[in-house]
Amino acid sequence: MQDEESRKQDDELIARTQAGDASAFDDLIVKYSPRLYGLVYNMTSNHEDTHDMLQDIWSKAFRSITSFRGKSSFYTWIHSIGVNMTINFLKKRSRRTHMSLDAVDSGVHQDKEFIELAASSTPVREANLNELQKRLNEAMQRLSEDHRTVVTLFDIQGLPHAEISKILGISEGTVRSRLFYAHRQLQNFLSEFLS
Amino acid sequence: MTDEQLHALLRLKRFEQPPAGYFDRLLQDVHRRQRSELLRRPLWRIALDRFQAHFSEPQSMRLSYAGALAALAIVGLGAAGFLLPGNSSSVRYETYLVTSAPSVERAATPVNLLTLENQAAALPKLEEAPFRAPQTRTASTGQPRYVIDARPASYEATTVSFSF
Repeated sequence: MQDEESRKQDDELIARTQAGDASAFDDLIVKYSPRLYGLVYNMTSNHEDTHDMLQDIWSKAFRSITSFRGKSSFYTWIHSIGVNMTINFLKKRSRRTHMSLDAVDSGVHQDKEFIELAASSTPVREANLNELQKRLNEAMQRLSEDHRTVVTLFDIQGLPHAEISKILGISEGTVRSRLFYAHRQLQNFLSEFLS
Repeated sequence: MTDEQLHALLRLKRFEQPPAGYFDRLLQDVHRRQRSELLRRPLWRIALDRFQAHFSEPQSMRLSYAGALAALAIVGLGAAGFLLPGNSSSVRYETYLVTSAPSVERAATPVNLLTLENQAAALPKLEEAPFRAPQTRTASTGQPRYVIDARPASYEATTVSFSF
């Protein structure tokens, strides 16, 4: 979730963009692209597809920015665009999957928080971390688009149930239900590897 | 694997980020995409934009105003010509007066051709018209009278006087 200060900053940037200041929209791109990258990458598991999708998402957002009325936060709005476009892309891509990890994964182990989390988690410590991440990506790809989306938004992006229900246009009960089912599936896939 | 362990593993993916400098390149690519989208606009849209841009210029605005004034003048002249005498509506009115007169054979007379012959034929003939004595007013005074009517004035009553 974003704080009040961040939202005010977004409102100002949006107003400037709607008034014709394209550089204000660049600031929005710089601010939200890292989170959007995480969202799209974890749904597609492919860096090139993610790169193309991000361009499409920002182009569409720029074309639609004049119709943005502030009923929701820009954060929710841009995530809605990103999720819907990515789901459409995945349906077109159909069953074609990319299981190989990209170069972006190599930087994960150098992160301090990652090392702390890995050390505190017994299965992760015992297994090869690289291999486990690879298996996790494979397991994510075996989920349906709907289940993968809620796992990405809740577990990876850290959004609350209420925000996810707004972004996806479904009830919070449906969000919880999909999360429960997706977690069971992931546990089954990874248990095979860990055992 | 417990829920907590799975959650912790999934949280690790939060730190998956592209190489350094990627987002600067993304910004440039978004700009490039926007420019290419502008160039890939459909032809009808480009033509519409050019048409609107042409008529939004000041000189073109004057021309468009002149055209509108010319159209208004034509409409005004047409309306004025419609109301002038001798036009088609006046002819129709006169034709109505002639054809509504008695003893006129309408089928033999063209509707829009009004000539002296037609007008003469439209008038009642003298021998067919019943004789009507002219109305006279006789003087009530005792001044001398002359024959001014069909009858001698001496035969009339003396209550009528001339009043010129």
